[in-house]
Amino acid sequence: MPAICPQCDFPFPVAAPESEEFSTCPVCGAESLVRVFPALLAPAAAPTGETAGESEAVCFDHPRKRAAAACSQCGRFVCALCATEFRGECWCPQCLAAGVQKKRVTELENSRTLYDSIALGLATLPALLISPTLLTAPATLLVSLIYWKKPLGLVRRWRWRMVLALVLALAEIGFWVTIVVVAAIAARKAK
Amino acid sequence: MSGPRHYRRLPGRRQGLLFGASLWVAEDHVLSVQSWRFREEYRRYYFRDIQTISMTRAHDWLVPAWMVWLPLVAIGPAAILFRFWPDALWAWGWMVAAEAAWWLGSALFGGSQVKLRTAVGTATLKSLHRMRAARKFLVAVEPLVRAAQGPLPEGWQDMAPVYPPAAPEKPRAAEVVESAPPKGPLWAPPWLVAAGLAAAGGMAWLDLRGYSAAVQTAQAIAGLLLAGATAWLVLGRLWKRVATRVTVWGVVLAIVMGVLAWMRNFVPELEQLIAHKAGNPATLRLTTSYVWLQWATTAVGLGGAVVMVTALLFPKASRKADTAP
Repeated sequence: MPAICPQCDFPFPVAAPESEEFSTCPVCGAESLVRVFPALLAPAAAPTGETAGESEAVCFDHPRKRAAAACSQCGRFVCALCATEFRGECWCPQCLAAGVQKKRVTELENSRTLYDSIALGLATLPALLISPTLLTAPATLLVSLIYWKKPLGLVRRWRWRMVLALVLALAEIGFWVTIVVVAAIAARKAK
Repeated sequence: MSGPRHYRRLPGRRQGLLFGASLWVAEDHVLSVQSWRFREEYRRYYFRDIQTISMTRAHDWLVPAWMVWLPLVAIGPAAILFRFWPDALWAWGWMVAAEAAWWLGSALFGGSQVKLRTAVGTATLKSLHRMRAARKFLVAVEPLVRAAQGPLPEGWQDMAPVYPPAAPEKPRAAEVVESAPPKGPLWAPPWLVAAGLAAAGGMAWLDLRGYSAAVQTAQAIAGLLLAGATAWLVLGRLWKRVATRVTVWGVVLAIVMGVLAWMRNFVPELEQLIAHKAGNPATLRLTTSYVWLQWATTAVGLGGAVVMVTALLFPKASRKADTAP
């Protein structure tokens, strides 16, 4: 019985690996269906790195540890502790960190700002109260143009929000320009 | 550097006014996307690391955004139709009642909580809050994980160490499931939001019956309660503490109530303006829409309060935070 109850963390009865039946936890009474995979049975052994002998190549960060591989990006020797398998190659921690910082390693990105949603929000929400668009329409235009080339969310493929924001911002600016022109003409006629 | 990965959407999606969640699959991992309107956070679960996927029957009090918007959008056409078809009020009411009944049934019997366990922790997949979606997700992902990890070895049930090693005595099922909600100064209690909603709904009803003095008192009480609950929740969110779905939903209702109240005050002024400009008050009176808004406010307020109290009585599995092994 290797599985544990997802609610109370106590041993949970799993009869068959592909059973469709829900089982009841004998401790907390929660009804759950648990799928167990071989990773649960694998021993969790973390590499520690072996101590280097004399005249042996050593890790760049751990001078007492024997080098186990060379970083595929910068060529530094790394021990078993530092060697990270990434994209089928060996990367050192510094190259990984630099890749994340410079946003070159999209596989490790854990958040993104959605500039297209910001632009669309800026174009639509203030429009409910009409008058704030006098300021927010030019702001939308700026945001859309400045961040046009910024990457979208990881799973977003199209820039329709940005395009819609631009169209709305231009329409709002057009609206205000029309108001000003009409008011100016009316004022001139009144004189 | 390789180009961006191509993700395929997995079943299950959660979309609220502020928070959203969805699941995507790439060739070697599941990507969990949690969006906070203008920001997305990602978590990757590689097939080779997934130890267990569990589905638990749970009550789910999440209200889909469309359930809030649909009655609000429908009330406009219903108000116009009311002039030609007096039963439009009832049609709208039946639609809202059917929607509420479907939601209540789904919340009580169709909810699920899916957890994914790896060697470093357990994560709740928030987009899989309905059992149907959870089953579809399992059908889509299980073969991929099995393909990456291979089959379970013979006698697997006796192989792995049990965590935790020994099972001590635990209280009976009912005592564990009905655990107390999280306490603390940064947690907005649902009763406060429920009380606010009930007061606001009562206020709208009194207003409808013509008790304007009582309305003013109730309005002040409701305003204070809702403002307190909202401030409490906003503080909680700022410090990233636990805020239950129930309370988040309550605050969304509070905002809806605010919009309705604003519209309620705005509509008579609009009527007067139109009537004055057109010079023909008899044909342009829109007082029916005022009554409609009153009814909507009453329904949202009192219905919300009932649901909040029901949620308090059935807290099973809806407030449990993620656990780490």
